Amino acid sequence: MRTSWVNLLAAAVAAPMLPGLIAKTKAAVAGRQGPPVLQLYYDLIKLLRKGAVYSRTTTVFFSAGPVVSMAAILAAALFVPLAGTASVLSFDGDIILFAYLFGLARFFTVTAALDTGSSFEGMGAAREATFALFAELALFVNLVGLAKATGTFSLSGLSGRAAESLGLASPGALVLTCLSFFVVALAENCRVPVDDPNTHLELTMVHEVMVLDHSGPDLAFILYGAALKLTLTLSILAHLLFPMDLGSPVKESAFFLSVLAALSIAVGLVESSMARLRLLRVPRLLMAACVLAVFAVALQW
Amino acid sequence: MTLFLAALLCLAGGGGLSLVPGISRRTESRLLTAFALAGCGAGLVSAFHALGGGAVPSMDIPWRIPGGDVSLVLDPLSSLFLALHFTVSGAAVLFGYSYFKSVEGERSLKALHFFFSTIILFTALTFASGNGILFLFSWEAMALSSFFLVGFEHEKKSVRKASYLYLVLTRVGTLCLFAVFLLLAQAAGSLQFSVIAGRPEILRVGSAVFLLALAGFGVKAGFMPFHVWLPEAHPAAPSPVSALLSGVVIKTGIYGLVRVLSFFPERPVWWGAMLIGVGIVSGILGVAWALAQHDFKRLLAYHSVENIGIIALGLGVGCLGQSLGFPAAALLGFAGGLAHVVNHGLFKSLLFLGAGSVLHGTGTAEMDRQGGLWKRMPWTGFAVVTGSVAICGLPPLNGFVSEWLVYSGAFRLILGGKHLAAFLVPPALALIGALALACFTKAFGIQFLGTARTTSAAEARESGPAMIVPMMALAGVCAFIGLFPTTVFPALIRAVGVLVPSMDPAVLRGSGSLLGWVGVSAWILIVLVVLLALFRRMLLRGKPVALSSTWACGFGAVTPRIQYTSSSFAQFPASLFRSILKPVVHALNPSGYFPDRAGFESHTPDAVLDRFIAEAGRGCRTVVRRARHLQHGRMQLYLAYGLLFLLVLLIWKISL
Repeated sequence: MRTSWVNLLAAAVAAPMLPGLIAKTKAAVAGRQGPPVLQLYYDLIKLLRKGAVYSRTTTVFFSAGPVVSMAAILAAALFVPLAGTASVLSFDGDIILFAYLFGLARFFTVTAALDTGSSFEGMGAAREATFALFAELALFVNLVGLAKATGTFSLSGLSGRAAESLGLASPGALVLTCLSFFVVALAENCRVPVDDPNTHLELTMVHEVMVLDHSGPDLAFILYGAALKLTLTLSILAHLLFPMDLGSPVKESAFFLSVLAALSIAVGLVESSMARLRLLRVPRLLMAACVLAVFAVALQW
Repeated sequence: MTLFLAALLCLAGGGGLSLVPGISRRTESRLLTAFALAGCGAGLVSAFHALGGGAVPSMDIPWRIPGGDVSLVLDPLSSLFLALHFTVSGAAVLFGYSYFKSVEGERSLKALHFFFSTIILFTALTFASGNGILFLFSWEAMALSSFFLVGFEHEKKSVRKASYLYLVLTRVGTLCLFAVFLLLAQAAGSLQFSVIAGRPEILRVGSAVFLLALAGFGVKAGFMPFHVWLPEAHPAAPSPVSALLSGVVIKTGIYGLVRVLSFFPERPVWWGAMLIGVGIVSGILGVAWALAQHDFKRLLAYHSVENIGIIALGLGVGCLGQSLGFPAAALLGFAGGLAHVVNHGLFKSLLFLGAGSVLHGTGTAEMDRQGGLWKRMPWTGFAVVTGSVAICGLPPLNGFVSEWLVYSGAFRLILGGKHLAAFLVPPALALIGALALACFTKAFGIQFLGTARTTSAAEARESGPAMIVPMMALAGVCAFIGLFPTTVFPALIRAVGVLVPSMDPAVLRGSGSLLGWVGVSAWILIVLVVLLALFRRMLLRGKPVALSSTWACGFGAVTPRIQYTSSSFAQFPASLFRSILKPVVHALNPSGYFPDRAGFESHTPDAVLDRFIAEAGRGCRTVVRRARHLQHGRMQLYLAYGLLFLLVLLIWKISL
């Protein structure tokens, strides 16, 4: 229990490093030096110390958006296993809670975007809500397959045992599940090819355009929430890929951190090697992830 | 039981008083509200009393109708539905008190008051009756009352059309129910529910009864494709009536189905699978149609179809779990289905009352004509956003609790066995949830946030306290169930006990403690939100906080008409379903070098009603037209028919 808390705290502190690592990878591939890995920390500190500007159109929902979504992501963090130790809280059926907490975060992010009355933010909101349809569908098909393979439906049990039970019974199914989960993770975290976090044209943005009007601490909450969400989804993927039960906590932590870093670099490589898909193509990509997950279930029938 | 009878008497008294000539409209509505509230209060107490466990209150008075018997039974299943019924009715009556004040002129409200009382009375009687004839009698009385209530604004053609559609469909449903009860009575030898329940003889007619009940009760509940009356009737009816219709009356269909299921000591596996199939179709298509609507009440009506689908999924998981021998899954599935009955009743009536308040304040239910209402009507906005979070099934409100129960039941089935239907439930629920989120962020965001699109929205008035109090009460109950799910669990389990008579206590304890964790997580979430909000306030203290206009990429001439509308928000997601939804688009594209006019309009009619049923109706008519030649109206011909018939009889008799 105590190690779970320590791991959770460590993850919460280290979360902003992952986006930095992704940015560094992209810079390295492009032959640039790029911002330092710790850049997001500097940004967060700067933003937290700033005041804020609000649109006259906005109401309490505008400021509730960042607060509620960060709270939901923090609550979701309690259920995620980190570095081979069980999560802080765990019960049968917490996977549903985990997914729905992300849903709550989305609900309030979207309402905050609509609160500005800007059509750009409306566009982003509609896109976010649409992509979520497929991402949730693919996520739950994956969860069904994993639950069937591991015989449990708590997030800790499911991701802790996946690599062993599914990997031995049907390695193909595990590969398909992880691939599908990786695509879902890219969509959930608004990365290329679903969304480009670095785009600078309002018309083409998805997640970034929804938070255009946020500033100061509100923006800091959003950026931190996004980093934490990335950490959580990649941690689950890391547990799916490799059994983390290595005996000593030091070994486990080291191994876990290196897998996490490798996954971030993989995300960076994906972003360097391809452009964002056309909006209308994104549902197809996510449906493909869904089909992969269905095949993974079918393989262990 | 006496309390329940007193409640019925109060409701009958209120209805009767409204027929007394000569009292002013105001006194009349005061009297009705007082009597109906007293009735609902008494009924609520009796329902809670019966839900608390202990002996089942019942009453039996002989009736002269053959097979009939005035037998009232308040078993836990009935009491659960009654508790919901009296809560929602009480809120709707109180809301209606000031809502109907604004009905223009000196128009008589007698019919409205009378039928409002009778619908509450006969719905309660439907839930409590323990005899087939009494059940069908109250069922019909309830259906007729709702017909008159839906047709309240009968001077409008669309309202008349909607109420006739409802009448026709409810008759078709009742026809199936006659067959259901005749088959059961024939097999069991009685129409008394207590005699029918558990008889092994009824298994002989089981499949026919199940299919007929699914269709007959499905019409009332709104399963696809029998849902066609919902999107017509709900917008036509006055909002408190829609709240009652959607919150309770459609649940009588679910109640009937559950009651009939409870008669069978064992159920074939395909029943559960079929319920899951019906649930998936209703759930996904219901919410897809909802997404494409731009009338708030029509959108809510389609969401009832979706939620009825979720309830069917729960019941299906329960049936499947029981037939395949997984008691924990059966318990969770049934509990989830019944919990969703209660939860949907609460948040949907909350949303309909909210829609009524918006209609009252702005004069229209068209979402694209609203905007920025939060600033004018914060209480209504609070009600609508609470209902929206709840209906999306998000924590920490009650919708999550029931969906979690259904999910858990389905996952337990998946772990145990390999029945394909069970594997479909979690992905279907996830898709429904994500679609509902898109739909309700749209419904709330477009209407209440942003800036006003029309002057009626800019000058919206907040409703009075008599309309706000019932909404807040319903919102409070939604939050309570979400935050303390274990308090309602025992009552839920007693109701499930009617369906699954033998239950393992170990299974019960396990599920109860898991539900406790759901409650704990909801509290953790609330605490985190409060802490972060305080942290944010602390950070901003003493810092410059400026007001400005929304970023519009440097464009200066922003008008409210530029804002995203509900149609534009729904365009992308709905376009993915367009092969099913068949939206009708009228576009006037700008043309030429100096385009002057452009326009775009889209609406999504019900494809089942407009295409399938209309086509089927035309097909029927061509067949029936052939038969018309038989009816020439000539006396000689009819005499010849008679002679022919006698001849056929004679030949038959001789040949025997």
